Amino acid sequence: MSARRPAVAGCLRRLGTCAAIFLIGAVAAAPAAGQVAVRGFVQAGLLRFAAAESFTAITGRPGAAVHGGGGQIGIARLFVQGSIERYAASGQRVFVFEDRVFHLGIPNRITIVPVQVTAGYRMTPRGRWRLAGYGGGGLGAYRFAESAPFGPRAGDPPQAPADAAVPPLGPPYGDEVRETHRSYHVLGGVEAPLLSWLRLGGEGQWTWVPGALGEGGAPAAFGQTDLGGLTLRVKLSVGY
Amino acid sequence: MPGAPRAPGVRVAALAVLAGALLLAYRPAGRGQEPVQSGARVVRAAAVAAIDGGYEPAAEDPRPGPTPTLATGVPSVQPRYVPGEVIVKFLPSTVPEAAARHLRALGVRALTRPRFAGADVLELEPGADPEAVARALAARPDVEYAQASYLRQPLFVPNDPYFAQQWNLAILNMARAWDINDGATDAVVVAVIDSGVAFADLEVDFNARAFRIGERRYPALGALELPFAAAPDLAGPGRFVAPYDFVWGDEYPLDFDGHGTHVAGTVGQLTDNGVGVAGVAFNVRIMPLKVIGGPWDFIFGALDECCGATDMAVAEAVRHAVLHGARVINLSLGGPSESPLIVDALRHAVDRGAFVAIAAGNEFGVGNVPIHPAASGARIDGVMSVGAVNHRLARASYSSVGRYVEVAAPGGDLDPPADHSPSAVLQQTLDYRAIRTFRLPPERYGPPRFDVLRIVGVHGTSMAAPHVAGLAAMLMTQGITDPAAIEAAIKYFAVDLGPPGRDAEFGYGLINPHATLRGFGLSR
Repeated sequence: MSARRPAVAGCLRRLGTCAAIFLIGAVAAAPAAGQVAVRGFVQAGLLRFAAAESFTAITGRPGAAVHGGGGQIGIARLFVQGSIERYAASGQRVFVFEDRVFHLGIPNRITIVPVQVTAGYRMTPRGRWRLAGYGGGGLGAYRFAESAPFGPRAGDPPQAPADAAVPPLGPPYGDEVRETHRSYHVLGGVEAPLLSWLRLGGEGQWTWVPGALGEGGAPAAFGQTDLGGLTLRVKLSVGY
Repeated sequence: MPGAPRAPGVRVAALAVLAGALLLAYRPAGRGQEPVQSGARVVRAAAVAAIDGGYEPAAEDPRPGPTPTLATGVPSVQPRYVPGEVIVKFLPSTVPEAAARHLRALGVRALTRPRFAGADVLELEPGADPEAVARALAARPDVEYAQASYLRQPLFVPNDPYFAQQWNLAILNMARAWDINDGATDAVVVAVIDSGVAFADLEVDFNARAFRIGERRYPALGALELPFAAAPDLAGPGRFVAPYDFVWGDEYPLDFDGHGTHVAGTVGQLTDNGVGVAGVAFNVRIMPLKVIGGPWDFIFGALDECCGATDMAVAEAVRHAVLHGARVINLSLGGPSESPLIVDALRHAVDRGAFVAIAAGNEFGVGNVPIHPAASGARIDGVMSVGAVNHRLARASYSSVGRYVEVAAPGGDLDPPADHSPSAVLQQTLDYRAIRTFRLPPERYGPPRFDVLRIVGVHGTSMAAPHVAGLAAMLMTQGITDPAAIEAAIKYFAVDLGPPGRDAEFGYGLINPHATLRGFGLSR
């Protein structure tokens, strides 16, 4: 487990508190304003990682399809939303030398689940199609998991005999990696109503997950440290 | 003059010549052949059965002690399973699909039934804990058993009877490395440029001349017919490639010393064959190239001076190795003088895709002068200079120290462990007691035997370098084919010893075959 986990948990708690305060305030004010919008949405898109070379080295692609969903509450032109997405890809472990990638034939599985909260502003619908632009930003947590066979395990050699003059060498790392990292993002998009309760939108999002990569592995060889990247997605919202 | 009577002196001379010819023609085992001259030899294929002397720990370390065992890859219990899956077997009276629908509260999303498994696979919601779900399922009355979909891995521990004595392989975690890579393949040829290798069953005729060691005079043994045997734990069908002897100038790089056979054993001793000991890259093919002339090469007349390897022989051997397909070269030899000739040959080898491991030298206690070609070769990416550590993971007492040391590997030491387990690197090689008869007093001096092999403990950076050569062979098989990349990988994954970072004792640290073969993921 990552050493950053407590910091991320604290951040999420603060984020949740802020979101709850926002929502309580919004719902409390809603009857008076009569402008509360509650929506659920599903979304699918393409993600290109900032660490494109690293992902290309291991999975063969700089990104992949993502899908997920969430919920949104809007007050007048402000909104707050929570979303969850999932990225998964398989590849193989590598060695990188002078930007050349040597594939080692050992399967590697990567799963990333971003959980994000966004606060934003939606513009007034305009034109024949009643297109409404929106933008916002927020925080989140990237749950990152990586697994591959043949990982070293506690108790494995190398280890020195009991009379060793130096401490026994422990395994340098564990096998299954499960970490959570703090993320930041900005997004913007446009949506149009298909029906009074159904909207179709398209949006782009840039996410920063600083320091999530680069302590080892292929990103260290490429000098990449950010797990974030650009996501382009289509969003189908249900609600009023 | 025609018709003239022969003088008595002429008759005596003729008889003497005849007698001499008869004497020369008579050799107890010569079978009527002409005797070989000093510096020449006659080689015959023969069905020589090696005398396998096994291993005598007492011969190496006379002090008694308990038989040691080292941890050698026995796995720790740490379950690992396929995320998001649980395997369940419902009781026969249960309809699995119907039951699965009622299991949504446990995080079950779908059910599939493999054709032959006799159980069902439940797909779980993301984030569900398979072991917790399995425990909950197992408690249900309609479930016979449930378990997470645990991953199994090969747990290869070779059955070589003395593997447990090979501390050098244990501290390198070789058993786990072999889980990833099965000791390379026969597509990789490793050239062992050394004193030769016990690679063939042969009978060879020599003429052993007289010599002197200090004030001791040793008599000429004259014509000898000597049996040579291939090391049983090293030889096999197709095992040896393009052998050549640069001392004798023929294709029989026979080991008169045992050094090269020991080194070749560390590279690729046959493993999991129920015999003897194990080697690092046990599936490679070996190219025996003899450049080091030893005392017997001198006694048999191949050398004018005893002993060693000439720069020309080493350079020629390196080029021969590359020309005949070697992808890895081991040089467990060295000297204090730099040789542009050898460096040029090393560059040639790397340019043609061969990785080279070189012993860093055993000179720490004797001036610690830089040893070449290790010191000069270390400047070439794809050539690595290898120092030695002992069983305590400390620098071996003799291992040369210098900025040219790039990495360390087990080389053994003089100081045995407290439990009296072997402190040297064990491999099968010639029985030194059978070949070093020239160390006996002249009155006990006699012909050597090159068909007696034994598991022998030896220490030195010569023993460390072949660990690196073997690892390089495994990396070649695993997918890293560029010598410079192999060097970079070995350095990157080395376990740092001594002061943090690179240092003059251990270089980048102790080689770590398991981690090197496993390479990079995204996060590690």
